[in-house]
Amino acid sequence: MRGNYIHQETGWFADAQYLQTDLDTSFDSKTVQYGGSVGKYFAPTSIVSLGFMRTEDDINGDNSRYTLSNFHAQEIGDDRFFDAGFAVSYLDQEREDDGYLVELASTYYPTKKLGVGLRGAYAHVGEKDEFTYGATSEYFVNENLAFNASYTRLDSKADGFSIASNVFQFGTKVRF
Amino acid sequence: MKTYLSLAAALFATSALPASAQNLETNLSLAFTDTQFSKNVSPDSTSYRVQAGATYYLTPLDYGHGPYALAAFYGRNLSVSASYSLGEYKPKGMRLI
Repeated sequence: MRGNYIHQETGWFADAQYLQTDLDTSFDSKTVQYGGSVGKYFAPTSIVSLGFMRTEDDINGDNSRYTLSNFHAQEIGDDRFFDAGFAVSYLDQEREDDGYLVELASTYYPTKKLGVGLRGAYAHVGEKDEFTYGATSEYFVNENLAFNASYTRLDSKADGFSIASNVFQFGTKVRF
Repeated sequence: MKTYLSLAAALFATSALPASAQNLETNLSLAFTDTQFSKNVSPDSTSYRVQAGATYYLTPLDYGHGPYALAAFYGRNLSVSASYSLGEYKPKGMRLI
């Protein structure tokens, strides 16, 4: 669940979210995440925000994330646009050394209906280094219907141990 | 097969919806994950996740300024949203210590 509020005159905004994950295996576990952010439109299409996210996990312990982020969108002529976002987070970990996360993302819109983007992130937590990168695309057939797809690659390396994941996502949006 | 055809027909029928005063956005997504581990700590795995969600905008979306995908950002729309996902994790083999 998520909600946001924006004060139209000043551009200040706040949002809050809550997420619960239940894992049903040979043992049951639950993860609860909650947090929010406060920020401001410092220009018509530019925002900066400060966020906090708390994760309470039966298996991995309780962790907190403090994030400073910005996002900017701009027209570059002929109904073409681009956006770009940058975020840096401090990761307060209960069961391993604290770490940090740096995220970059940008999307190019050759028309108002189509967006193609790239994103990447690097995290260092405890003894672990994680690179995440991928591509996204979304096409609006019209104002009511959109299709999107994305690919994300995760490479995680620790002391003599590595994990590699490929995530393929397909989705649709309907607006009424 | 009829189910898939009905779903596709329902999606494209949205083209007939009025293009103005849009306050509600629903979304449906499907994700597949394939994970490989370097050592015998955990078995390689595959998983999938289906997610459905809805966002209600307190004021209608406006497409006059930016990309359709950023309509809520350009319009500074207040919103509330909820989503639910269901997934399954399948280990490949039994290499757990």
